[in-house]
Amino acid sequence: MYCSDLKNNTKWPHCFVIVILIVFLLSGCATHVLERARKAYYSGRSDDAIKILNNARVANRDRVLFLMERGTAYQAAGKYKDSVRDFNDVHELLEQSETKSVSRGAASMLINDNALMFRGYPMERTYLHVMAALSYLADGNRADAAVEARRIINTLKPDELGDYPEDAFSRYLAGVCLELVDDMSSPRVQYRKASELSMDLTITDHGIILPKSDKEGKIIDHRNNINKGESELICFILLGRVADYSAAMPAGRNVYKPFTEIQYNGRTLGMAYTLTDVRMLASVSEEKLAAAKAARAAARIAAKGTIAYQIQRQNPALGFLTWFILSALEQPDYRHWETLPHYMQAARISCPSDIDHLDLIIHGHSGKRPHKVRISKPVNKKDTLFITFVREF
Amino acid sequence: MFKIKDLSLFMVGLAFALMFTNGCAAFRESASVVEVDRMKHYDEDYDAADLRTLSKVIVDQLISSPFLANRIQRPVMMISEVRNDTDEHIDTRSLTDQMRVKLIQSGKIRFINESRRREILAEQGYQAANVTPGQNVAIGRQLGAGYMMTGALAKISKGSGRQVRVSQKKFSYYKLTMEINDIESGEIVWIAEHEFAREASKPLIGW
Repeated sequence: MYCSDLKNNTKWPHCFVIVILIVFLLSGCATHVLERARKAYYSGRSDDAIKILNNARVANRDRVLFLMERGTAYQAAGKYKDSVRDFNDVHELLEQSETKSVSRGAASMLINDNALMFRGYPMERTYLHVMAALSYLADGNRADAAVEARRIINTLKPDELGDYPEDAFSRYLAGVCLELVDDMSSPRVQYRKASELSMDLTITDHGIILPKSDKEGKIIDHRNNINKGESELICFILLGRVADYSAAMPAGRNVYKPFTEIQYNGRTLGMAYTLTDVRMLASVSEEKLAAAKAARAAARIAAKGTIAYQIQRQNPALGFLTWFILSALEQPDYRHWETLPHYMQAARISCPSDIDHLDLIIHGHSGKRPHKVRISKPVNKKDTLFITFVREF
Repeated sequence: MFKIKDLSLFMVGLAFALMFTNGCAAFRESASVVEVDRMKHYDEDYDAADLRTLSKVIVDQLISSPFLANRIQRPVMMISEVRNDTDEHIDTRSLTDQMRVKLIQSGKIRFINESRRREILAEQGYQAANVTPGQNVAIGRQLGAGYMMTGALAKISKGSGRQVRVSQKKFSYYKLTMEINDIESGEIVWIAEHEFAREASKPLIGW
């Protein structure tokens, strides 16, 4: 009875088209707000970026991305507590979103993948904790940095990571954070894994990073200096912006990596080497997901075609309009954590005990000539170990 | 005479009317007082109920231990931090605060306030400089702690692996170890631990 009613009722295609129109109008996203905030952030106006993001209305599906970007902006602005609050909120949201929503899944079949909740690539979920750990370290909170280190390690477990690539910097940072809370055994494991993941670098069990060609001499030199009453410095340098993942060269081809000379009063203390090319890591993740995304897009286009065809049988004009709207809704999902740095560098070197500033000479970044950045003071100190980090575009 | 179709429409209308006029509990904002002894666990992670249980179990073990038995003078103690060795941002100071409250209330241990030492010294300095002689506190008569209480909270967790399933199981095991060190000799004079594990599952597909 009902079925025949529906069949004979010529008004249902109209209703359906109205629903699609509403969906079309409501399917706007927060991309333009994020773009404005990112532009402000890249030009060094982190406070403006935060203001833009604070005034934005964000759909739940984009909440994770929004908080990732705002947490990064807070970190660059030196507001470390706000930064970790946002990163921790993301962690909570990601835990909640482990339950897949049927309604969102259905909506994504009618609209596009942007209707799904943004969860990020596995590497972005690892870097969530990397950035949080750096903020905790900068804030002098070593215990909570160690918690983030354990979360980094959790995200790198085979069950979580699957066949996505892992990286040396995350492992190295986890090792440092655990070492700072006097964990005796775990740091060594992390340093060894970081060393295995670094093609052209060797990382010792003490976390000293050296080019593979120059291992023996510098280890002896470094340890001797510390024994002579000098201090030790761990410096993390976050360079550039990851921005457009598709701009990365295919894995394995981008052999050139920037490095940074660390100076104090004109004397070179040592080098910081690039442990991870984040853009490359993201690009590999993108490649791995490409097939799944293409399959989903093909299924969605087929579903949209079926809907438009059914309406066209009742009303050709409406059918055409439906197909037009559904096709216009078909947009790729480009959502990424774009304010992540491009290169992650680290150094562990000996330094004078009274060090109060550092000069970083950054070589080979984005084709620029070597340029100098001054750090006025190390952000944290434990016994004879200074820890500092700098974000440079 | 009613048709079945009319009856179903009437029932649906009635249900909507009831929901909007009376309000369905699931759609209403609500708040109620929960007795802290009856707090529930919502997932496998450490929560307020665990904080209460851990502090109570450890304090009970300490009060009934040989370390405190047959003592003429109550030991003076300080609490150092409980190291958080988990992957959760746990406020371990709340744990030690609760233990200190229970131990002081037991009347078996005296505590110095190591976290307020700077403020206490500042107040002593202020009184020495500004308060009428005779009414100010004496300088250099603070108690020295003979013992230090420390501890560590560890966690091991595991989740069900990647496979075809409709829910994910997560398992967490926690172990709190507390110890008292003799500050003079460095000897561990008392140690206790409490462990618990919890498993929770959540659906992988929801509305």
